[in-house]
Amino acid sequence: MKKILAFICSVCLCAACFAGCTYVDPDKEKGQGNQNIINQDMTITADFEGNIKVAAPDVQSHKNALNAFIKSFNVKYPKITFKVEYISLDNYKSIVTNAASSAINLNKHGIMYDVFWLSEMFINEWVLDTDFISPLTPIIEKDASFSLDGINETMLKMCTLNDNLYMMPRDYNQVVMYYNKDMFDAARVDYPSDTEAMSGAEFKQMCMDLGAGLSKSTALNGYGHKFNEQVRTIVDCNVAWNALDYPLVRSFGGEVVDENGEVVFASENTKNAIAYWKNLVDTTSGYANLAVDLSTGAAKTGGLFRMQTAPIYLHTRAVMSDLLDNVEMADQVMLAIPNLGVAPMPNFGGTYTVGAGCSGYAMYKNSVNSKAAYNFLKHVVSVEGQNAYSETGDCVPVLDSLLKAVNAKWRTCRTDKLSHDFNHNAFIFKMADSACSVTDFYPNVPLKAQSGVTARIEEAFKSGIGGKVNEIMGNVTTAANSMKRDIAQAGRL
Amino acid sequence: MRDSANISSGLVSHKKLGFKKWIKRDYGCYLFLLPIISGFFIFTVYPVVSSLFYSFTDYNGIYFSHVGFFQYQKIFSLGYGGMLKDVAYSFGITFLYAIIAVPLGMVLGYVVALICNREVKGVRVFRLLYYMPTIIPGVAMALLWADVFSLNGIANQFLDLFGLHSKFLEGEDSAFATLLFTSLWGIGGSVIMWLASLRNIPPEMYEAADLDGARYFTKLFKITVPMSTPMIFYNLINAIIGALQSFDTYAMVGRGPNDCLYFIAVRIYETAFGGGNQYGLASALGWLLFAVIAILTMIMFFTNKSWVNYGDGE
Repeated sequence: MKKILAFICSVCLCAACFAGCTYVDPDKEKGQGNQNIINQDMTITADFEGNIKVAAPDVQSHKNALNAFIKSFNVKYPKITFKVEYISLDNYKSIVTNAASSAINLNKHGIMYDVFWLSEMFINEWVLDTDFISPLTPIIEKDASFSLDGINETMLKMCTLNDNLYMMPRDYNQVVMYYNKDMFDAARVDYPSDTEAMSGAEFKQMCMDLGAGLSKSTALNGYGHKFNEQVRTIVDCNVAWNALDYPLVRSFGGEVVDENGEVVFASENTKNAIAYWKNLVDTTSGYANLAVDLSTGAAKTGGLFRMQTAPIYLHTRAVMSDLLDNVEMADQVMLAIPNLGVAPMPNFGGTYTVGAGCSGYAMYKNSVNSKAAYNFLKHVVSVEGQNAYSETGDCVPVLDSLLKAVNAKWRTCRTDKLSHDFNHNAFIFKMADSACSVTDFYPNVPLKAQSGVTARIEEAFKSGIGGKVNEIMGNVTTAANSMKRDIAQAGRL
Repeated sequence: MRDSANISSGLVSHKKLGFKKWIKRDYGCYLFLLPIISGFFIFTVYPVVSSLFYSFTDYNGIYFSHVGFFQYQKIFSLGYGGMLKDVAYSFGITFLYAIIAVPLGMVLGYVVALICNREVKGVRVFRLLYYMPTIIPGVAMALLWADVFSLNGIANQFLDLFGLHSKFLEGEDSAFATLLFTSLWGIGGSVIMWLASLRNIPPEMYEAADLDGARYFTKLFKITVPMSTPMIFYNLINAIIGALQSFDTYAMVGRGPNDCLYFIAVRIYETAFGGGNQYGLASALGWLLFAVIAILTMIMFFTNKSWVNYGDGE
């Protein structure tokens, strides 16, 4: 009897191994979605009852955005309720993937979020590999009440894969140069131009002037500290972030992987890009280094800028409300920047390129609340939805009509904090021609190697900036060789 | 006598009693054991068996579409797309770390134990002080070290006093040595084991040696060390397994500058969770690491009789 029991246990255990995963035919095309959902009529009326389970990052600006969308959506559909789960950004990707895995393998689709936030960087992986996002194009084609006309093409392109829209764009995130006007005034340095991108040399000179001026200034920041005692850095940013490092390489004429799939990262152009930034980090003016040293980790949250000890910060519109309001961060209250300015990113290397990305919401392909979920996605790109989000101050809208309109909400919001001449155009400066992202070269890189190759760019910047000038090329070559290995290994089963 | 007879009958009687009666008699015991047995099966046995299965697939967390030996083939291939060079590199630095960190930690721990074994005033405080660091969780400790050895950390602030500066964990040349240094922080755990072992050595042996006029080092190498060999063996196995599975460094410095600390356990983690969702490949690497550790452990068990002193009659 004991032996029989042991045998049964062993068989059950072996069989249970299969419970954790599902076999799919390797020839089956992924990203096609669930035909039952695609074919159903998605029309709902104002009294439609439903419940949408949503996942979003546990970050204040994300919460503000989602709350704005939900609130305005409930005006139209008051009987649709939301169950929102905010997840730490560090674990966000794995938690959503695990939820999808459980839902698909257990065939209990209620486990998975009906709607979830994602950035354009996730689309390839979540469509072509794990395949749990619903394609929206076939649903939209059947929906007579909705079309994508009017949504900015650049953003739609970022949300599209193989001619299928998988993510409804929430906003557009282009990197800009935030600056603290009070610190510029204290240093007696002119504000950067609103309409022109300064060159790399001009940017460096401006930083030099700021360093010299602030080292002499005894004016007080919002925390009551003298600038000359506090300012040790001019530019606060994490340059080893793909929204900054990749455009910098491109600006100097470099590229990572060409259209033939060849790694072309190891070039003089890449070396020059890293050398330029290293020079900023190593150069001092007055008491300050011109750019933050990456190894301090300070640049990841923009803490120096928020503490009003660095006059320049490179980031996107999505974090602007964090700069305009007092926020608690790392057990510390960061005061609002009282006089915030914004300018287009400089043209560091000669070819104007600026880091840009798009984030939005997608729908689970087997969503049990697909009608409500789809209509929520439609609302995200509606005028009402975009205006509601714009009121938070963090939105660059996805609708062309709002992007261009002078009196659109995103340009007139937060008048309590923003001056009348605040340069909203900086957030869309040359967006059609110069916006770039690592997803530009992703089609030339096997899916499994994409995140690895992106990480190698960051490594090259970190080791290059942290090392000696004459070692930069060696570091770049090492990173390029690692990229080649990543690509080779990902390309073969 | 009666008790031992009962225990003995309890061990064998299920054969005579039959399965039903055996269960009926002992069901209370099995009910109490059920939570731990279930936990063991669900959280240990099942993942182990599943990972073996996954290692033969291209499982990505949700689906798999191929079954076969291709992941192992990839690991052992040298040509285009092969990982042999990379995996060998990771195993190489893992072994190097084990070869240096294990003896260093053991010898230092043993020396500290010898010092703490002396009955001098306040020695208990020192024993406590040496043990205290082991209470801190590994990841917390790793983050603390990362802060200490950052470019503007306490270590560099101290060096600055002498006009010196080091990159420590940020430098390709210094990261490995810094890591070795931090690994010594945890010797307190082994010190406690050594102390227990030293306390078990019969004092008569030292008394007899004293009568024969033996000096300290003679007693150390002729009595103390040979009598501690069972504990040396135990600590050695644990230390080698721990060093080969070294992962706390990931919280401290990731893969290290230019992958100089890309240990095999870190590679397994990055393969699975680093963005590519290559759970199948990571499982195969995990089983390879298991095989290597198992072989090393077996070698140590086969060779231990020649140098481990188990005492009379064993």
